[in-house]
Amino acid sequence: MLESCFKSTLRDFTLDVGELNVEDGKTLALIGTNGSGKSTVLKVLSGIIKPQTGRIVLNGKVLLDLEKGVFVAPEERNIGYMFQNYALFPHMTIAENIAYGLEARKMPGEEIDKRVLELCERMGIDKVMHERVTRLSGGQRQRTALARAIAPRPGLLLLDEPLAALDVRTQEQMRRELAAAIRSEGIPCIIVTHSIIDALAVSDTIAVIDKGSIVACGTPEEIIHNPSHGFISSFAENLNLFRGEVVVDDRGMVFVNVAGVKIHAVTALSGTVSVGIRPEEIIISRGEFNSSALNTFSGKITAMDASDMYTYVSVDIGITLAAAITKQSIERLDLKVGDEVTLTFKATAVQVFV
Amino acid sequence: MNTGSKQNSSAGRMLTSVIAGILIFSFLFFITIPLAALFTRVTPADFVTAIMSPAALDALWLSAVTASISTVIVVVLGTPLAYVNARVAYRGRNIVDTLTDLPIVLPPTVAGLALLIAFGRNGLVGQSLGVFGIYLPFTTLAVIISQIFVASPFYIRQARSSFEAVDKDYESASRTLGEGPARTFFRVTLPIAASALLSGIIMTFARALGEFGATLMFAGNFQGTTQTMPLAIYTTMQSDINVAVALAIVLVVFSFSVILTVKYISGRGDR
Repeated sequence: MLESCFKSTLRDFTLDVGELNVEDGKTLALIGTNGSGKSTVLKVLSGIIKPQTGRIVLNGKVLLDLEKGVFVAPEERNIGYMFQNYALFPHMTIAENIAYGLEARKMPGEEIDKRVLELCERMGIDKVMHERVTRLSGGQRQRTALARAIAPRPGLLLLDEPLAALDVRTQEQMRRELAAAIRSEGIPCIIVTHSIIDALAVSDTIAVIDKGSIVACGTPEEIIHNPSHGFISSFAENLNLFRGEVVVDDRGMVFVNVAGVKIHAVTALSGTVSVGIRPEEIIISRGEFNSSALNTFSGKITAMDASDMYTYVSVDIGITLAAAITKQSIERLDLKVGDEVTLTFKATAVQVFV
Repeated sequence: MNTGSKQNSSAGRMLTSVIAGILIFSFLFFITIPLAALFTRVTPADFVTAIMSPAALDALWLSAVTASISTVIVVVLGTPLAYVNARVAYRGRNIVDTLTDLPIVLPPTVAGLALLIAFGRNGLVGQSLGVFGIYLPFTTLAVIISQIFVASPFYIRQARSSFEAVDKDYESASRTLGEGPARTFFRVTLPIAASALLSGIIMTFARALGEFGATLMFAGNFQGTTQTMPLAIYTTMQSDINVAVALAIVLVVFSFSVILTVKYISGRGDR
């Protein structure tokens, strides 16, 4: 159980997240844009940054109480921290990286070897465990960093953008693995992310942080379906997030039924699920075209919002889907509000999660 | 019209290449000729006889010993300073940085004079040392002090930038995994910065080996105690030029290898 409350002055604003408590086995996602102060929260909790005022208690042990002059050094807090770019020691192998925290705790050599092997097998990196970390793929690095953070059995796990450095395809798989790994540890966990999908997939509670303050906090359901804060509602719209039922038809095709719209998807889940379709994955055309993509829908353009890179074109197909289109494509297709268009996207572009 | 201007510009480009080529080759020629001249001055047999002469052997041995000791002292004293300057932003850091860099631009004679005035018989520190019967000038220790004074910036500058290049997250990761600041430095920071530090160490050793002006003024020129290779070259040039040339060849070959090694090490670090 983590109980904390602190204030820290940053360059542009004061970080004041109020009470931040996480129970054992629960995951809190801190979501916010770059520079919102979310990574600083992890640095304060782990002791890398000393705040101006505050109190941090982990499993009954006081780690920080500035009124009483208590400041426990990072190496004595027993907190697992996974850094944004993993910070794997480049002069060591995977096994040496994972063993590092165990050696620091003076664990006997045999037990270290056993624990390292066990973790490597669980993470599926046992075949490469004696390779230098510089030779690894993104997914292998991510698994090594997670294994290194949990190896000493910490009392709190902090993950800074654990999936951001991976390509989209690897992210899908790692998101599931990460959620499973966190659950199996049974310790409080805080994950910092700018991706609402990551937050929804792994967390029990989502806290939205903006300029150092928590502006919304709740279960994933509450956060998506009552988007009280502009930041989340813009996220929810632009990410095409919906709730629906998984349906399998007599030919074995898997759909998610969202308000009567049947969307082809690839998933092993059943019952009520969330779906997300990245606007970049949706193709707009005038009239249907022949392709391998399973999802084809027709509808009218209801709105067009230009941003820096893309124009977000909202199309009503029973539900409103946003597609991200380049300015050149808008001109080429001569798209206007009210036009009848066709939307096409692959079943694998539909992300399904609980 | 159009073709004419095209021909003009291609002729212009060729002229530029020719001029650049002439300048580049003149410069390389200018550097290479004197060095090559050294190698043509003595036959291999003369070289062996000269290098085996007592003056040359004494100088080689003294240089190797003093430059090694100076380098070790610079590394031991300079590493904490370089690390603190790389990581801690304190008031006056620029002044400290400038002070440690100063010997690079200062003429070695200024260094020699300063050392003599500080540690000489009637000097600032020398007077007190004299009370204990310690007398530094014109001793082998004075050679080492001169070398440290002149060569230390080469290591400290390089070490500071190598430590700055080590991502702080590596150190933070080590701390959260349970290692304190000292063990974090030796297990993480130092190994990651190692190859860059090594090139600083090699450059410092090479500079210490080539030290002349400060040594001559502060330590004097006594064969066997203070006459290092550069001083031996200066002295034997007037008596037995073959010895001077032989020692010069050793220094040229050594320095060339040092710079090539450093380039190789830092090139590998970049990749």
